[in-house]
Amino acid sequence: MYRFDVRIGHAGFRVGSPWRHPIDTLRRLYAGYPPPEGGGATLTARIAPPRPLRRWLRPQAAIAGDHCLPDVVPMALRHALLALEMAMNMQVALGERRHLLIHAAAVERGGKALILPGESGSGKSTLAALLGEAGWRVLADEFVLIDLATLRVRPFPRPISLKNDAIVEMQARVADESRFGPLLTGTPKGALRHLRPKADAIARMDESAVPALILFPAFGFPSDSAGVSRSELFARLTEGSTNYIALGQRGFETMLRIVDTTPAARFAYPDSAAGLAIVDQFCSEIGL
Amino acid sequence: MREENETGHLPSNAQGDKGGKAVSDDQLASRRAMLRIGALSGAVVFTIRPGVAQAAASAIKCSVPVPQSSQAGKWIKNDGSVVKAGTKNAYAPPDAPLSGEDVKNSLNYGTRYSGYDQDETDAFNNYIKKLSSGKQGYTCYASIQSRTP
Amino acid sequence: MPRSRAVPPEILRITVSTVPPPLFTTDFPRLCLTREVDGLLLVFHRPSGATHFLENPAPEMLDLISGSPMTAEDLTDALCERFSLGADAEARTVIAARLAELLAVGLVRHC
Repeated sequence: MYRFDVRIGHAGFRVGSPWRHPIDTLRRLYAGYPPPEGGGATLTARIAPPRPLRRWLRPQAAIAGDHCLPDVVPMALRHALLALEMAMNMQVALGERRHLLIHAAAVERGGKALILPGESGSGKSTLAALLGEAGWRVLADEFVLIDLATLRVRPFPRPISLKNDAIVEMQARVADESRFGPLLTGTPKGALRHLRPKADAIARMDESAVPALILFPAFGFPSDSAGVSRSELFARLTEGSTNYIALGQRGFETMLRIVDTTPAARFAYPDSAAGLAIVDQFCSEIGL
Repeated sequence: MREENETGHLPSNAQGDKGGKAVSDDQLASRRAMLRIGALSGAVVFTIRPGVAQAAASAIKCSVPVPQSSQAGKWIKNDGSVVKAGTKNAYAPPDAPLSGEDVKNSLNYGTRYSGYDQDETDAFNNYIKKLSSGKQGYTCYASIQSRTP
Repeated sequence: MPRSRAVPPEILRITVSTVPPPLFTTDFPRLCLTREVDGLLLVFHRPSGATHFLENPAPEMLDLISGSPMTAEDLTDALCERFSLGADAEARTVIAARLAELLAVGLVRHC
């Protein structure tokens, strides 16, 4: 078993794989990240062949770990890096209890967090990557962690998953080739490439931020925007929270406080330049 | 305000209309309407179910007015254009904005709007598909589209 | 109600017609956290751990039942009185449907 241990924000991971190559690739992608804190609890994330022969014959990687979900289809070995990332995601999604999870990207400026919730295709990851190259600090790509007591966003600055056209766009903007993972083609979401956040975002991964604005992006439409009511905000944020139910009353109270205190809006945009312009407009309106 | 519970109430900045304050005539009328059969087309309990796409659709509280409020009194032609009332092949518009959930279901699954037939539903949908940036209901329509798997 | 295969039909008919209608009860708002949001009532129901948005008349119905357990008929009468509406068959049908929704999520139960 090949191993790689790494800390991302509050979470220490022990990542394991019976194949060497995916672990080596993961290690390169996470260059500069700290090791898990000595004595701290770690989450185990693994990939493994679904059946012994699948280790060599048309090899497949199934995801596993402390927490697992049945019925997750194994991936081809060439996508093992993706499988490792998914295994790590799953540990957080199913196991996190100290923070409320929101399915969103987030960036920080001046101690304040801009949260971008959305599903695949909404453009949240690409926007976060672009903002990360334009003076913002990347806090999260997939999971935004809200401290149950303080309501602050705890950074979880994983490499950002860029898909399809976003890959070309970010390759043009990011000179440092080493920040990119390998190009994976033919994945369930098309072409995929990871982009490691800037060194600054990694160095400051223990610096939390106050949620200041929640913006729901919708990529691929002429520019427009509208407010989001508190009821809709509550429903949409809980819909995208993998641990809201498990947190019970604390989840409810925390979500309500977020909804009470954080302004929210939605916007549509046809391309990155327009998207960034709208984000800018919103931010200057609320002093972010 | 319903804030009584065992562990103390949550702070709220919402103003309620219950508990002693007089209910307005409008509110009374709408409360009575809720006890009519017509109100049964929707549910009154929406349960939070994270990760379930259908719940997400129900959660969209945005709505699409048909047509724009600036076009009150006009009708919707079968091709979706807004025309003078009484025009041939045109229909009286819905009296309330269409809910985001209903629009999504109609566009994706072919359901009809409650109280309207197929021709009327098609006309309203053609109107919605013509919506462009700046028009009322456009962002609601756009966000419905972006949520379609 | 016990099965009664050997009971003559006339007796059975009388027994069936005197079965009292079910009483509904609720642990709302006692075991709930609630907040009004955009005209809806957001409810965290602690026993089930579930969160619901309730639209009118559900909050009013729960309010009335929480005062004392009651039948659907009594609930209809009380609700209609609150809204200055005559209690009629339509109202009863709607209340029955809404009670079914609340029963399905455990916000009311039979007692």
